[in-house]
Amino acid sequence: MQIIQVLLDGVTLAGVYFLIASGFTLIFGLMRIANLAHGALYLVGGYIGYSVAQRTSGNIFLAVIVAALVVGILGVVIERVLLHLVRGDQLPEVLMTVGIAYILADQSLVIWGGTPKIVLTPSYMNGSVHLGALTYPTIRFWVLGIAAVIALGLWLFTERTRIGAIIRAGVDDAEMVAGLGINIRAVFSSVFFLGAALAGVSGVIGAALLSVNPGDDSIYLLYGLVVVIVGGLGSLQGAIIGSLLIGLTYAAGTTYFPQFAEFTIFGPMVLMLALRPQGLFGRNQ
Amino acid sequence: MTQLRSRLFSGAGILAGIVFLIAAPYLVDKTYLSILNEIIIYGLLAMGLNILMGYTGLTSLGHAAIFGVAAYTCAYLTVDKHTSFVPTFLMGIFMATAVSVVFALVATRATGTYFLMITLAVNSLAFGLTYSLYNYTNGDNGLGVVARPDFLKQDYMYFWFSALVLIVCIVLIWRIVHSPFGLVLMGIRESESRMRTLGYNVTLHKILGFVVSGFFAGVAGCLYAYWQQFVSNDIVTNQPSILALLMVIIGGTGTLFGPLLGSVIIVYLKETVSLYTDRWETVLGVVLVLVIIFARNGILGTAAQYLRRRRRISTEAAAGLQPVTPHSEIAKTNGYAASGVPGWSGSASLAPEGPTQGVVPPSAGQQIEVDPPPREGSGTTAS
Repeated sequence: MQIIQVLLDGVTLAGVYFLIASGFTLIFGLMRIANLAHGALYLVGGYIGYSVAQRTSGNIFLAVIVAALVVGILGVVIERVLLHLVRGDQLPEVLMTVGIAYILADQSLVIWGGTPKIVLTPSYMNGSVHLGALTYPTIRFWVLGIAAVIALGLWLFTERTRIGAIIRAGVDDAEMVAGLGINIRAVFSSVFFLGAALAGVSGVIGAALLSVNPGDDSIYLLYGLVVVIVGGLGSLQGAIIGSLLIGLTYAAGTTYFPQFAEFTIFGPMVLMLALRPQGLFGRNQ
Repeated sequence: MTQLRSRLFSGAGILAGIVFLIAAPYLVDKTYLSILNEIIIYGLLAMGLNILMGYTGLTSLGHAAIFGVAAYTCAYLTVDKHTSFVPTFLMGIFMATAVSVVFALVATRATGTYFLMITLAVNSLAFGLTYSLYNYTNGDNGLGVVARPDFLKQDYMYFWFSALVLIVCIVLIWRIVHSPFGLVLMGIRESESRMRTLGYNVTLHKILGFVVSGFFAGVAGCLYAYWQQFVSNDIVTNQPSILALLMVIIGGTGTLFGPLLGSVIIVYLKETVSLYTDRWETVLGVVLVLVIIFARNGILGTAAQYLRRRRRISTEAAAGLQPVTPHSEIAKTNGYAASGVPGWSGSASLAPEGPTQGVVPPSAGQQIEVDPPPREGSGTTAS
């Protein structure tokens, strides 16, 4: 019975991890920017979701949409106004996102305070489902469902639409895409919007599942980083497989070695670095 | 002539620094002395980081983890085991260096942004471990009181001790970066593939560079434990890593005294800001963004650049030559034209001892900027 519990926990966690990692990997894939403010965007998304759900007595879908829009626009502002100034220099870009992360996280503390906040959920998401002898919270299935829908949507978007094709082409050769008369700047900004919006959505989902606290920004950034290091930077498949691996390992870790749960997620990372430094689906550096 | 003068200048500067360190306890009050001590500790951490960042070209966001290992080792041994000062201090350095070896083995598998992400992840792991290892670290309650030995009980005595350790470390770092080993590290910074072709074991040198850098972070960590006489997991958050990095950048990446100057500025700023507001982290974020936009070359980096240009012009004038475009300038222009990548203002310095004027040496950046060959087939790697 415990093994089923671990599997379910692992897959649900994988859903949250995937949402975080997908936005990070999307931005990196096209723009080669490791956006270390991603965790802070997650945090802001979670808090915005909390505020919206609080005012609409648990309308989580509205919360998700508002958080996605606000955080997405925040992402575009960061990209257009700040990152634009150091475009093309990898290290300054990364360090600038670190600075932005500090500002966002600290200002969130000012606005929302230091106590844990839980996103209110509608009544049909509360309670639990009985699976034989096992009782499992309903909300976890919702989280899993939402993550799966978003994963499918992202896949269809990148593989089956024209914009997706442009993005994929931009990953291979942004200059060539620009040369073909496509406004690559606009593509960059839309991808930054999408990536940041995904961070916002994952914030709401994470805050509904557990809670959102000051300091979550670095924790969830860490999960995102480990997932993309294992899965391979810039690959959507890598984010899916990586998040499943990390989610399951973490769930097993918390069950069997509760003290060292954090340590267990580093097992796959160290192993991957030793055997295949570019990650499962990553390209050679 | 100019060389003699510059030697005289630096000699006088060093002498003035030493005199200041000796006189400091008589000049400033207890609060400022404590701030000066903090400057020494962070300066040492930043100078250690600079060996890796400025001389080897690997930018780490995980040095707080190594710093923390040393501080926690000293605190645990002193508080729980009541060991005496010297062996404890040495043990702290040893543990930090040992952890650096493992850390380096993992992190040096990657370069550029990947390296940054991995070191950041390891830093976060270290923070998590302070809770997992509650029995040793006491979680966020921290460990105290880390008692100093009798001869360092007084704050001014401890300050002199810290200053002495700093001077010894500066001499060591100077020796290291001017040794053949240091030159190999700088060679790796400028071009990893070239060094590999020349037959150097690049991976081994990167690991050694990391460990040497970790050693100094460890010394700083030990100094910290006895300075605060209290160690909590605040020091293992990523903030000390970021602070050290910021000090290196502000002072001038790849300059010997730059990080120390950066430490003076950042620690002073931190202590001043903390007097007026709780929003230090916002200030830190703003400073980081502004430094990246406006002052990437750092103070000493910019000064060195300026001095070198002046010196070149004056020697040329003395030799009665027409000022011609220096060789490196040509190389720079060509580099721009070829790569089309704006940015590193002349960081492709040809002189092996020239300080890197960018935040990152070109080699580390290029590692990733090289476009991967397009994938075959429909390209299922949606990104």
